[in-house]
Order: sequence, then C-alpha cells, then structure tokens
Amino acid sequence: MKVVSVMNYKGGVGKTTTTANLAAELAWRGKDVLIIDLDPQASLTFSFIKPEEWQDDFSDSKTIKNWFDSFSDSSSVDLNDLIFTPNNVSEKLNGKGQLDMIASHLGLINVDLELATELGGATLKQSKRNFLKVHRRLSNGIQQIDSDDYDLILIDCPPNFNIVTKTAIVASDNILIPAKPDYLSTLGIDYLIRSLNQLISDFNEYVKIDAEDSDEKISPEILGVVFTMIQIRSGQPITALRPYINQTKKLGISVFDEYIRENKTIFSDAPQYGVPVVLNNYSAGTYADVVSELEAFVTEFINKSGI
Amino acid sequence: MHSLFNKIFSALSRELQKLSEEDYENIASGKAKLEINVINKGGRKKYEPKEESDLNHILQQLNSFKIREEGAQFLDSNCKTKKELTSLAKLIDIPVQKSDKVQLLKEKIIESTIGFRIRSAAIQNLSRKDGKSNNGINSD
Repeated sequence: MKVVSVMNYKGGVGKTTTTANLAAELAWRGKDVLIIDLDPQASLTFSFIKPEEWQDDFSDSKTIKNWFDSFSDSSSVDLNDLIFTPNNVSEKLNGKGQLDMIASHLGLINVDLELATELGGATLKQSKRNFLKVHRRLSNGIQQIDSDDYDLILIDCPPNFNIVTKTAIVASDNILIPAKPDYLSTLGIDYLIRSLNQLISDFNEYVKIDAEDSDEKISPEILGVVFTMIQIRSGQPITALRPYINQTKKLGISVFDEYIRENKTIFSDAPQYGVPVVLNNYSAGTYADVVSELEAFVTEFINKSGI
Repeated sequence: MHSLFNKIFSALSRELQKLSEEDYENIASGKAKLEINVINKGGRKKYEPKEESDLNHILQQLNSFKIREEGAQFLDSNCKTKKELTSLAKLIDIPVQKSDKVQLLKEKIIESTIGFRIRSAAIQNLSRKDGKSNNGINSD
C-alpha cells in the first residue's frame, strides 16, 4: 500500500481536480484507493458528497478532524471507522475497483493550533520527542488500516505547510505536486521543495535521539510535478506556458510528460454530481481529448509510482 | 581608362543638370563653389542573419553563465539586432510579441537561460543558508 500526498502551497492550481480524477481513474482500472481529505476547505469531500449530506451524516463525528481531536479530548477514534464509500462514483465504477474516502471538516484549520500546543517541552530532548510524536500521528493512524485493503492512499493536503500538512508528508512515500505553469507557481514549487527538505532533515535528525527510533527515518520522494490548467493550441501548451514547463524540467525536478488541460465547461460542475470528469464518456471532440489526457496522466502515474 | 572618364563625366553632367540657373550664375561669378561627395550606392550594410548553428552555440554559452549580468554582456556582443534576438527567443521557445523592444527581448532570453536557475536556487537554499529549522526547535 503506497501513500501519496497531493500538495502545493498555492491554492487554485487544480489540486482537488487532479486528486479526484486520479483516484477515480485508478479505481476504474481495478485499483482500491482511499482518499483522505486534509484540506479544511473540504473541496475534495464536496466533490463526492453534497454539503447537506456532509452536515447531516459526517460533520459531527465522521471526519478526519474527529480523529485528530480524539488525541486531545482522550476519546477513541479509529481511522477505519471514518472510511466511507461515496455513492455516485461507486455506482459509476460498478464494482471495478474501490474508491473510499475520509471526509474533511471546515474546522480542521483549528487542529493546527491544537497540535502546536503539543510541541515544545521542558528540555531540548523533550521538544524533539514531542515533535516526532505529533508529526508521526497520521503515519501511525494509517498503520491501523489493513494494508491489503488498498493499493493506494491519496492525501489531499491543504495549501500550506502547517503541522497537519507535515503529518501527511511524514506518512507519505511520495509527493505529487499539481502546479500551474506560470512565474509565481513555479516559484511555489521551489518553496515547497525547500520546506520538504527542511522537514525531512529535521525529522531524521530528531529520530536519532532514541536508539530504537533510528530506523524510522523518512524519505518521501517527489513523484513529480503535474502541470494543470493548461491551455492548448495546435496540440500543445500555448507558448506563454511552455517556458515554465521547460524551466522546471531543466532544474532537474521530475515533471510528468502528461498534463491536465483547462476546460471550465466540464470541470466546473463535475464535483456537483459526485463523478469526476475522467469517468464520463464523450464520443469525440475537446471533451474526449480532456478525458484521454487524464487517462494518459494516470498511466504515467502508475508507471512512476509502481502501484 | 577612356571609358572610365566618360562614365565619370556623364555622372557629373547628370548632377550638373539638376542645378538651377541661379546656381550656374553663382558658380560662374564665384559666389558659390562646387564640392564633390562620393556616396556608396549600396547604402547600409546588408543584414546577414545568423545560422541556427550559431544561435545554438550562443544558447549553449548563455546556459552556462551563473550571473545574469555576465550573460547580458555576452548577449550584447553576440546578438546585436532585434531579428537575431527574436530568432534566439524562438529557439528557446519563449513567447515573442512583434511590439517587444530589444531590451525586453534580452531580458526574456536572460531569464529563460540564466535567471530561472538563480531564482530557484535563491528560494531552495534559503533554509540552508540561515541554518535554522522552521519548527521552532534549534538544531544543536
């Protein structure tokens, strides 16, 4: 079972669209996929269930926030008990593979403050132990899930580098970075790499304090940058976008050959119906091209991740 | 030699015919004098575009610079015309507008060959430079 975090500092880069379509296409190809929505905006959650359904059936006791909260209020919440199967996409998949999820909560943003209070300590050694304890939380939680149940866990991270995001990185084998090919977004990739390196370096330094922990170093690797919201002309990204794609490649950052194109017509309302675009059938034309490109991206994802 | 003088006098005669009656009188009376300027009919030197292999070589060199200013100097000495800069920009696959001024073209080329590496390194190396962790715990 692989764990892949989908993240970018910048919002509005198509992160949720990428995660939803990747998960759905993998399930269509027979994979069992669990998605964990860690973004307090809950966009991924609302891509699969309606907000009123979330309010009635999930918000009180069945979101990832409840699990994080259980550490401070001493209640007992098992990550497995939060997993559910969204109906609409499940019907569309018709038993091919499994797409399950753990919902996010709009109040998840407060969890960071709670986790921050658990950091620190009377001594440097204690501070380091607390750092490891807090940052390993999600990783430990995922270990409660039977590794035979899923081929892949996809974690949709919030657009920041707060503690909740870091718990996802510590739990991950790989990082997938959706990004727009523009000046500021490519600077964001650099900043993300810097933060990743810093976290890995700190974490692996701190695990040395206890001999029994020394084999618990982390090494999440960047699976690649997938460029999103691409405008196409003559079968390729427009000239204004190409330099940023080329520059990212030249910097030695792994970049997916496939990209996800901009198409407001089909992407904008797909979440409303709970079925990602990639599972729709279009006979021909631009919409069919969009689906083919998503499928090609998923094939490349499988090849790169080895799932 | 005879035919050469014939050609020169014919040319002189054509230029003299362009003068007015008043010009003739002024020259004859000494109020004005004749001066001969020889102007090459070829005009300005014809532009010879650089071959793609030359541009590739320039691009290769530019990619090796670590400092923007050094690259800009090299570009100034090797690509002097807007046409050459435009060809180089197209080779790098960066967008060019017809209205782009020479200075803007140079900046685009420098950013796409040298600048992007410098800004990436600046952001990625910051944490290593200050040597501090961003989680509030000082490294020992």
